[in-house]
Amino acid sequence: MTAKDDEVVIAGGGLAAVRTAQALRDLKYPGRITLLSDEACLPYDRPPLSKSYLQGKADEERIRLVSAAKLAELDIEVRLDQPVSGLDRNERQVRLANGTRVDYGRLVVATGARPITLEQLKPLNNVHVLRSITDANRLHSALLPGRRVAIIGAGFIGLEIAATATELGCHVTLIEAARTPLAAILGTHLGECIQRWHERKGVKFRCDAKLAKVDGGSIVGALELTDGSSLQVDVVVVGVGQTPNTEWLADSGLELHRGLVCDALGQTADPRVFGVGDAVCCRVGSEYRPTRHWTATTEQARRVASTICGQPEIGPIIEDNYFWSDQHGSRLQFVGQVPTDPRLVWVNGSPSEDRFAVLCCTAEHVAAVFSLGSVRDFLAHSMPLRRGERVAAPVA
Amino acid sequence: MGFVEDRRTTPGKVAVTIHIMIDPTRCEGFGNCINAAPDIFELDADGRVYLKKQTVGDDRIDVVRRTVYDCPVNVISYTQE
Repeated sequence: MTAKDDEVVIAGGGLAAVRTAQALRDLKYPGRITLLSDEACLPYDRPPLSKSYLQGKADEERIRLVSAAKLAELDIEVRLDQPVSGLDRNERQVRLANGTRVDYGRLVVATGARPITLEQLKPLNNVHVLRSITDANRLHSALLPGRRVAIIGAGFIGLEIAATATELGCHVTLIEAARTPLAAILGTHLGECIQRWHERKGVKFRCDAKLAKVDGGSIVGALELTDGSSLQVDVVVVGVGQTPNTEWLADSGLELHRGLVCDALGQTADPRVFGVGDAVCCRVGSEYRPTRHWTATTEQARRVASTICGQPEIGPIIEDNYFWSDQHGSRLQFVGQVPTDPRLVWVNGSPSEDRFAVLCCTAEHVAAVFSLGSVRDFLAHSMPLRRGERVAAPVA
Repeated sequence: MGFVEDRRTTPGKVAVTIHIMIDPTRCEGFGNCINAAPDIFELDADGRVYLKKQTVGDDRIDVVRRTVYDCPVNVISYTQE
């Protein structure tokens, strides 16, 4: 093994990159580990960006994933402001945007994803997305009391920003193409419960509506929607999903399909190149599964580190599909897959209350658990599902 | 490559103990730790974590690390001796 062989270069500077580096050191990996981050600050946790950080209740220090001292102790080098621009696998080099090249023995692709933007809103000044700390700082400074805020997309990020902006004194309208918020995840019945709850907190909704036309010069003054209505706005936020940052791999010869295609061990067709996190799409059999959740990223990082260390974990990944959100001071938690036309069993509260826990059942089994402000009920009912156990549906 | 930490018990080797520490004031009841290690962690009536045991053997290091990484609010830490 040459000296270069055991040098791990991780392209990226977020959760996936940090957790991979930490997992390598946990396994006593002896070689150099270098992170190439395109950001100007040390790695931070993204979930708070739409919640406590956007509210101004948490600072950069509070959301940092790992301190500079800990990175030094682990001998992990983080090179900031180093966006990657290409990969030359024959030379085993990553090309950087500044024209220089970085040699690797093993490369971990952890370049994450970026928010999808809408073409007609792109050049305008009062339009925001939220992914980075820079985005969050810019949005926070725009969310002044009394501002009229339109958020396009009522998924989790849109709902979180809506809750935070409302708490900051803004007048918020969510625009959603589906019948209800979160319909694809929760189904329309629970989606409607969440909509009514947000409405009780002062958020307005325009569902079954899309953006038709933008009025304004260098800033958006009004949005015209496909349902014929229009909205006067001061601030527009686009939260309609994300796309993986894999353009830099376009001429690498590696398979790209909704991200860098990896197997369950994080391996690509090149034994020296691995992938973790939002930049990756995991192929299981003939199915392609993009990475979706925070805890899944940590698990992937652990697997990639084990594989690099020559000790691959061949057991199946239990995908619990767990996620959480914080809105209006309450925690939303979800695990599982809501079946088509579920039978809903309310184990705490009811659809019209501000706290509830509900089981989403097929005829035989509990397929998903969803709760609002009911941490203990969620824990009690979600644990078996998170462990991959089958739970019989309660008798009707 | 064979440079992975050897976790097999070696005769004569002194057993390593892992001391687990928590900061319950930061806990928000996510339950990731209880999911990973229900014999070590539990939630109290207020929905905050407490330890059912404060020390475990080093054969549990993987699961302890997992609970540290999986806690979204950095409640858990550990030392080894």
